[in-house]
Amino acid sequence: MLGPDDTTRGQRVTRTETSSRTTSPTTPAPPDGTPPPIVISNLTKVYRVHEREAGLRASLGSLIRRKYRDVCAVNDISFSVSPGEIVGFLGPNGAGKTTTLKMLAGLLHPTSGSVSVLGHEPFKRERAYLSRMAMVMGNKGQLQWDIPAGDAFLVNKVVYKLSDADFRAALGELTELLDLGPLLKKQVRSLSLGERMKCELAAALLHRPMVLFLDEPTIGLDVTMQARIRHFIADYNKRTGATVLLTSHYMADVVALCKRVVVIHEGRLLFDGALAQLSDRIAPFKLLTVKLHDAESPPSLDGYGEVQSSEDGQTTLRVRRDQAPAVTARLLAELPVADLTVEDPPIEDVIDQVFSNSSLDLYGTVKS
Amino acid sequence: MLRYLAILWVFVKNSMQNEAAYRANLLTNMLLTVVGVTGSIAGVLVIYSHARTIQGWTLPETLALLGVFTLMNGLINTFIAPNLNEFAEGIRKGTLDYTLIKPVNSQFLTSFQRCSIWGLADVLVGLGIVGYALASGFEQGVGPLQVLAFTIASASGAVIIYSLWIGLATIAFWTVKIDNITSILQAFYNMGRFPVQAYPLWMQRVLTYVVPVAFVTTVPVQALGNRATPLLLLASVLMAVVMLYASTRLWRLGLSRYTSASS
Amino acid sequence: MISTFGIYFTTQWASFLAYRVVFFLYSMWAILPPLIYLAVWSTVAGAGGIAGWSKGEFVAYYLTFMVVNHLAGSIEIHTASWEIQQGEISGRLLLPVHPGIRTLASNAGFKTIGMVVVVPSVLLLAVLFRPEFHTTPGMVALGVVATLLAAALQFLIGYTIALLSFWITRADAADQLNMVLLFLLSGQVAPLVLLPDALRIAATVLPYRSMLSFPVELITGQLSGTAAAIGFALQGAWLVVAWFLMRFTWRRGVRRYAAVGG
Repeated sequence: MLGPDDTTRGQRVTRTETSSRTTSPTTPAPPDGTPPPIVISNLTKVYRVHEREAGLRASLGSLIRRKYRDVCAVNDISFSVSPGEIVGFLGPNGAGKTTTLKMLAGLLHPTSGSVSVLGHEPFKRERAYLSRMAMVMGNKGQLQWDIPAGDAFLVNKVVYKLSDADFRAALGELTELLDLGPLLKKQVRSLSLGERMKCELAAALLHRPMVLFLDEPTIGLDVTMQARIRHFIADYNKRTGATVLLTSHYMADVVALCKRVVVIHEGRLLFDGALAQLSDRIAPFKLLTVKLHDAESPPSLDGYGEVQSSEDGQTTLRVRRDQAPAVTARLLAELPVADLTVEDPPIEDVIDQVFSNSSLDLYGTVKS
Repeated sequence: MLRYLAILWVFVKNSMQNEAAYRANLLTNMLLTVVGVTGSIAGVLVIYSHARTIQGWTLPETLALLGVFTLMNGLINTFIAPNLNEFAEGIRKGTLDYTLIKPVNSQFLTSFQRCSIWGLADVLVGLGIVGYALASGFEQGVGPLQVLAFTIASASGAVIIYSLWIGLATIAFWTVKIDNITSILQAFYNMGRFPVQAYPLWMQRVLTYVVPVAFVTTVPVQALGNRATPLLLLASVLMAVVMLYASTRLWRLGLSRYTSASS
Repeated sequence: MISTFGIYFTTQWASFLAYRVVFFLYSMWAILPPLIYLAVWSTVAGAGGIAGWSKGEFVAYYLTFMVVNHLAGSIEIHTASWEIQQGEISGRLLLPVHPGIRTLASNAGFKTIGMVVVVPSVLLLAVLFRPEFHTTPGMVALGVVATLLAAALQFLIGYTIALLSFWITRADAADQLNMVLLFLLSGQVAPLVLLPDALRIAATVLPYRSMLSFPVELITGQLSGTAAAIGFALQGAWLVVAWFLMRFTWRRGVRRYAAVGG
């Protein structure tokens, strides 16, 4: 299911081609001049990994001396996020997304470069910062399994110094938005995965954080529940103006929530810009769908581009973006064209490519 | 400070509801306390069946010491032990991250976010043993001053044992698999079942300065029996302060390792 | 079966080595509790000895006890019980090898490599406390055999207790009861001859003497030939009982596991 922002498909050829090359990766300054809540510059994280070899002799050896290897998980990344923005943070597994999120949350110390969130350096873990941010990781929760979520919320109430009134207001709002009513009194272990995620989100948001890091919040949930969580995130963002940085493997999440995406691959920044332009970078081609007048003996269209499909007299060609105008002109001039549309490839396909490691390099778009 | 007490109170309240869900567990745990304490008392009696005193410690005094040992053990089982297992799990599964992003001292949260209130049964049993020992021929008269000294020494002892345990648990930052670290720590703590004078001199030194279990059980009972000098009491308080400080330093060291290396 | 055991055995080594600190601490578990009683008894014995035992004899007894305690002790509550609670046993049940083989390999792996910690510690303690052995090579040899039998017996009993995890979420209650009895009746709190009659008889009738004290008594030369023979007979009898107890518990446990699904 797609959200209301899904306007990127099927641009008619008549639409003016704007801005496809002009977007700069930096965020436009917000109108009121408030500084961006998240600023990352030249961020790098190198892990020292203990190398273990198989076999008894090797492990005996490791008793005495361990071998280490440096792994660069995040390599010289810079970007910033504006207030109230929801940014999708994408990349294949092991690209360095979680490492970056952890540095933003103050859980990891950067090797070099700098991170600033809400004007704080996260790794100092100042209380003023921690009480204004929240992090939710889809694959692990903060709620204890053997007590009801409602009781666990009381811990967060004292931990975040919430007044009775604030707590009640926040809980009331979250209960309504997430439909938590019947869940609060049940032991967390007896909740379904989706119900548990709703409670996790509520626990993380009771103190109304201004910055929210969501690491795969919909992982493992069924489609309906995914949509539910997605709507909630959009809603919460609208109501509170909180800034959200989100990683997800589900393109529906990204399409519905994020106007802007940041893509990293093998620790490096690959793309930063509007979701609509992601295809320019990752898949720089257009789809030309041609219908000819005289369908009896259709001429071969191989000469114009790579034929993707051909049915009902309609042929879809894949053409490099920069050649699309010329090819269109040639088609119109040389063939009896009845109808012609120029489209971007479906965004789902593009995001899919982002997640599958191998196809990224095919187009040679790695930013230098 | 008040806030931390409020947090602690929520933890206790939550765990009370939690334990209520496991009433059978409560019963077995009470039973185990009784069995364990009976075993310990039998052990002391076996030794005293062959000796009148152990380096000047009479049977009632050693029983009182066993009472303090059981009491402290109860505090450990209530507040510390469940958290250590949770802490190790948290590192393994990564849920410790949630503790670290809370705007509260992470050592405090890690140490107390779980309590098993049935451990308080040990505290009661321990007090009972101390009471029995006092009634059965604790030779010195015990007045308010001795009780005060006993309270100070016991409080210091509790802080020392807490610092020791949390300090050893911090090992988990370096080596992830510590699933049964509690039982190993117990092995050291068990030395407190007997007065330090019962051990050879080098062990006394170790138990006073390295793993200062002496301050946890021996000194409180000496204070109760009017045998602790003011200097010894002062030393016990000082030791508590130093150990607590050391534990926070070690915690920070472990944390900085965690935040520079974890993935 | 032997080769499966061998592979498990070496992988266990590797995993113990990977966690050096914990492994070291685990090994201390066999040494520290008896050390308390070693120290207390040698203090009580003083220069003149007590109940017919000299200080050095107590030291010899407890140092031997530590080594036997390490070699014969059961760690199944930490290995097998955990596997069942975590549900890891499901996969193991599908293999054409009895999961107990893996548990046994883990036990043997831990013990052999643990000697790296135990032997130096005991030697160090020997220098500090000065033991006094009155024994013969023959008795020591018999003691080694008895230690192996004690290890087998403790494994069977420890494994049976671990298997209780099929029924109750926490088998540690049974384990703790067993620990208290081991503490009192296996010769840890005092050599069995120094116990009051009631406890000494209980130790002999129950398996606890066979599980630990008997090999120590042999190695320290406390027993006559007849007493040794009776001790071996008791060990053998308890081994048979424990074997059937384990088989029974295993069958019932697996059947229950299959029915309830853990």
